[in-house]
Amino acid sequence: MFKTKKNPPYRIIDDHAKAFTQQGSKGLRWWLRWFLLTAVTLSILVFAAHRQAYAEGLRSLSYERLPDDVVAGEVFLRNENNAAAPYKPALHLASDLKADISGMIASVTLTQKFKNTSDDWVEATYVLPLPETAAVDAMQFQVGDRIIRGKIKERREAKKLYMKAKAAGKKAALVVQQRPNLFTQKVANIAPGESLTVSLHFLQKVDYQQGDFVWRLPTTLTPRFIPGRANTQLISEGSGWAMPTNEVPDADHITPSMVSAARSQAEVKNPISISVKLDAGLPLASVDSAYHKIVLRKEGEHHQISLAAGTTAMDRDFELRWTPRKNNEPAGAIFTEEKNGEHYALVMLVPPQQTASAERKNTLARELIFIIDTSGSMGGSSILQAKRSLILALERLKPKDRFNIIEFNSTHTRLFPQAMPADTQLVQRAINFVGSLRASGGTHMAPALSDALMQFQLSASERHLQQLVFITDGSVGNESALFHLIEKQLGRARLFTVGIGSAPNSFFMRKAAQFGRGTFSYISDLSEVSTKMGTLFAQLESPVMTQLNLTWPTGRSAETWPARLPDLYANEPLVITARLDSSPDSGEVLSLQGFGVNAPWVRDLKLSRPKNSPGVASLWARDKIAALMDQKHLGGNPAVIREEVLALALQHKLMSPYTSFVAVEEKISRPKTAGLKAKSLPNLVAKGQNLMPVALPKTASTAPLSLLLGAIFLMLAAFSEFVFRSVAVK
Amino acid sequence: MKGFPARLLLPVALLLIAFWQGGSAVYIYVKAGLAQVLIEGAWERSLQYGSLGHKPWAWADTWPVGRLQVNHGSELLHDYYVLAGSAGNSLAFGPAHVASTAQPGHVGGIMIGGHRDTHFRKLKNLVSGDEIRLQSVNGVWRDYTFVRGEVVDTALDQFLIDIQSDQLLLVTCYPFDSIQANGSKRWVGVAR
Repeated sequence: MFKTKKNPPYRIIDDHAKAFTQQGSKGLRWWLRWFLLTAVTLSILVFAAHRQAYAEGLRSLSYERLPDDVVAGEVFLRNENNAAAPYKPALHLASDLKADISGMIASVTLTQKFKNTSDDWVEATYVLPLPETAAVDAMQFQVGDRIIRGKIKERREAKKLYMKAKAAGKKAALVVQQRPNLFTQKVANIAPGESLTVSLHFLQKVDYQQGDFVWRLPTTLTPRFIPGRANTQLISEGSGWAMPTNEVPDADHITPSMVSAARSQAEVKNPISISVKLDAGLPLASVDSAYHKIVLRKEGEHHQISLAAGTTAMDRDFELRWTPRKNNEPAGAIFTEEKNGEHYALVMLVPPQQTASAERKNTLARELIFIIDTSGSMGGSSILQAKRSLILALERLKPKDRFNIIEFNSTHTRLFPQAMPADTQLVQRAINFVGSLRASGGTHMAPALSDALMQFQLSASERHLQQLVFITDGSVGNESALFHLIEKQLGRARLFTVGIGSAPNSFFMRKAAQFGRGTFSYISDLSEVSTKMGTLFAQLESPVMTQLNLTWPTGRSAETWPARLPDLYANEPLVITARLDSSPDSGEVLSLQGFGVNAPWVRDLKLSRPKNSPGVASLWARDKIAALMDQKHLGGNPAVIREEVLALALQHKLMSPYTSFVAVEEKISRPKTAGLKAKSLPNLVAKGQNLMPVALPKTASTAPLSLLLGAIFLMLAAFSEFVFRSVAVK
Repeated sequence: MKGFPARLLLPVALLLIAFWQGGSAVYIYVKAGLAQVLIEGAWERSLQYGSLGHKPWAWADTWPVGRLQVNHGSELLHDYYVLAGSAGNSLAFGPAHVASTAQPGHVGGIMIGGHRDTHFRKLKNLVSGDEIRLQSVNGVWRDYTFVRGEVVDTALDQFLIDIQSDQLLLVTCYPFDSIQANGSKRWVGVAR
């Protein structure tokens, strides 16, 4: 039956009339009820809306939980005196680096000075790049003449202590490891106008490569590509531009906002001053820095190095390279330390020079696959360096070699369906292909790597050496998964990484090469391309030294890291750290045996009376942590590994994935009434880069969906009411 | 009348849901519209003092950083105050500046996001040559010309912005008429 208000004019039959009058009065009450319901619903709605507004108000109070707050929180103050740079950031950062290099051990103090130029109390967050092998063993902060020393704690406990101090208004500092080469530094309760410095101390082994000693320090990072589906459920507590994804669950902690050094006017942004005391321990032919102008002073036995410009922008790696004088090249070295009754040693041994016979060079056939990264982060000067390197490599191929090229960004492309002979025509085609490459898109590294290793496995030729040359800036956030892939699919291939750009991901470069049982090198400037690629090719073309075996003097037992000695390439030394059961005596001999071109060889190292080299114990512990973490990358039991690393890191007071440094001042400095603002310091865009990743905002509201659902439910309500009424009337 | 008739339960429940859904949609639209009125005052104060950080209401966690006018031919499509920070809370009240990009008035790529359903619902009409203007805190208007729109899938690609070139990027969700709120595709309009 239909419900109408007006009496229909055709009321003829009595029965019907009776039914209708009843219904009329009922309909009136019905409408009243509808009205009441509407009123109730509306009030509930208004209440809900208020709650939402209230919740938003609350969220704005707990400022640091907003993923975008770095950016949203960057307040610019007007600078009246400088018309050219009318706004200056509310927080300033200046860094100072002091390194003391003795032999092969660098002892480095990095001091960060935070200056709060705003009128608010501030908590500063800074993503700090460090060398991937750094053993961080101390942290402290200083405000005025008060020095507060940091303590090593289990990571969660350190965070808790820090949060508590922060809430209580105490000054506190926290340093947390995100990656072996990426750390988050937090400083709470910096007063308006106040300066505060945080110092980190770390130890590091100096690399000895191709007859040069090299010490490299990153000062910024190339923004990491974050693969995977964004986890929108999580509220990010980090301050990155990326949200956590299923593949990179800590993406928000490794993606700091970036600011161009070029954009700042006049003054150097994020300036760093560097001073190095170099005690090489042997006569030197040269000391150079590839990317910075330095001033070199000889003071007695050691060299003093500083930046020619005084300070420089933190937009590229700092590299110091020193070369021993001819005929003074070391054949081996040992550094020892006695600590808490235990004996530790750092040993370097250079295998005898192996010159491949001309005959062998001619018969050695290789299958090379080059992978070149053409993702967006390679834009600017990086892609030029990568292309130049690859073209140079192609020109060095010999006709009997087989080769292929894979370029990748969001997707990957093979130049040829399978590896082809390196004849003039095909090489020319490859060179043209490389010339046409442009950088854009994402860094989906795993499919490209997997494809290359798969090709090797399908390749039938047993005769060919399989070599994979991977040219990339390594700017990915899913390193661990990639290491796992390399280890699992490597087969008999060898992987060589070539790190490109002003701030390559050194952790990825070194570890990928280690899991790929090859070498790593860096090209950060076009002028380096030919020498670095020349070195790489010498390694690719020379025989590898295998089956290395280290023999300690009789009666001594040693725990050596890495446990499995790697294969060595041309001009590569073996570097290990060991814990010994007793102090080595002078006159004892440590010997390294290996297998060269066709014959075995032995290299002996006479141990001298031990001279204490502080830091060796920490370096040994750091190597052991790295080895344990390698097991985790390969799928070892995380709980077991965590326990082992935690115990070791706490014992040696070292930073690790599971331990952090926290320093808290007892005094309460921030008054209860003053609020605290979270501010993040941006890192500088690496030199030569002009493309920056941006997280695109979420720009759809639920309004259209709600409207549609609302309409559907309204119709359903009307329909069900209609159905019920018809049923009831019948 | 003997209590609430059982047969009304279903229709009433459905009606409640309808009101709840409709209400929350209306709330979003009303918030989007009303907030701009309050932001206007904050922007006037910003221009007056030449400084950023003036909040439109006491508990706001955002503030205007510019004023954006989007034209299609001679028709003014959008005229909104742009807010700092592109988290969801800013976007509800107006188009929002992605703070990792250049500030309005500075050199470099500037990115502004807006909701597909509210502030940026007319961007789909843009054709190359259309004029887009952006006022920065020093009161100066900068004119941009719309070049093209690109569709980016955030699940696959990383969007890269050229920090050295002067351009304005307007971002909204794509497809324009989709009702899915958590899609991965974005439309990026490039203006120089």
